[in-house]
Amino acid sequence: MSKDVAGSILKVTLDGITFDPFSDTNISEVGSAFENESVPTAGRNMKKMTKRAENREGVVIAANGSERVILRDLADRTTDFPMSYETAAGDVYRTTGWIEFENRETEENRASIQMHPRTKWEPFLSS
Amino acid sequence: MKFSKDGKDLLSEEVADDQIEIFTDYYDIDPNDIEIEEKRDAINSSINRLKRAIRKGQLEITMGEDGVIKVVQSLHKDRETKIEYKEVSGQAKLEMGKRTAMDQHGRMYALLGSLSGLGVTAISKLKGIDNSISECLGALFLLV
Repeated sequence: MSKDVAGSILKVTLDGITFDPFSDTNISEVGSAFENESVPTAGRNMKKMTKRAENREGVVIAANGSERVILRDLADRTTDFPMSYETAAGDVYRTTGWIEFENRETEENRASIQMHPRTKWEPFLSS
Repeated sequence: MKFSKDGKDLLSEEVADDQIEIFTDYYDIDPNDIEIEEKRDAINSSINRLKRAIRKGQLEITMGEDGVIKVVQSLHKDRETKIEYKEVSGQAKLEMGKRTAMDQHGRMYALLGSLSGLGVTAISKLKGIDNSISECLGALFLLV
């Protein structure tokens, strides 16, 4: 069972390469595989389920010049690669997919990426 | 992949030998090349452990359609979760460089974490049989 611990992301791994997330990184995890809505009728409501990608956004990692090159190369790939991240609770989530390398801010070498799964994320929960 | 039941292995010794041979042939490694007897014995012990894992359905070593080796470990806890270790690369070995030379276990787990894409922490949390198999794999990966 997962622990009731929240806080910093401890590690981000992209294609086997580990990156250090900033301690204030707050990853936004899309909640579920479907976006659910209600479609009212004169009687009962219809549940409308729209498939969506379970992306991870707001991933901010430290990237020096070399790491920036690695991130760019990863983002420019046409093949999927394994990705994972570890939460403060020790839970690890992994998938195979690609990243969107949004930008790097040079003042603190903050690189912002999104992680896009080909299918879904698989949890390795701490115990 | 099914696991053995009632203590009976799913696969034969020959299949296990063949799968180990896929690994050693692919990476062109031969434990007999190891000059230090203790280390050679340790490697052979790891190979025997991996052969048992193959026979029980806990490990599978095959060649992919793209000609790249596939090493897949099925975790004992739920028998469905799989860890796939990709081909050894310089990038994976660079992950070991983040550990000190004295930290042999840390370096092995860094390599396994990189090859699996899970990172060192998830790999180091494997327990019991899963940990045993992953460490034996790590010993062989370090020979590459």
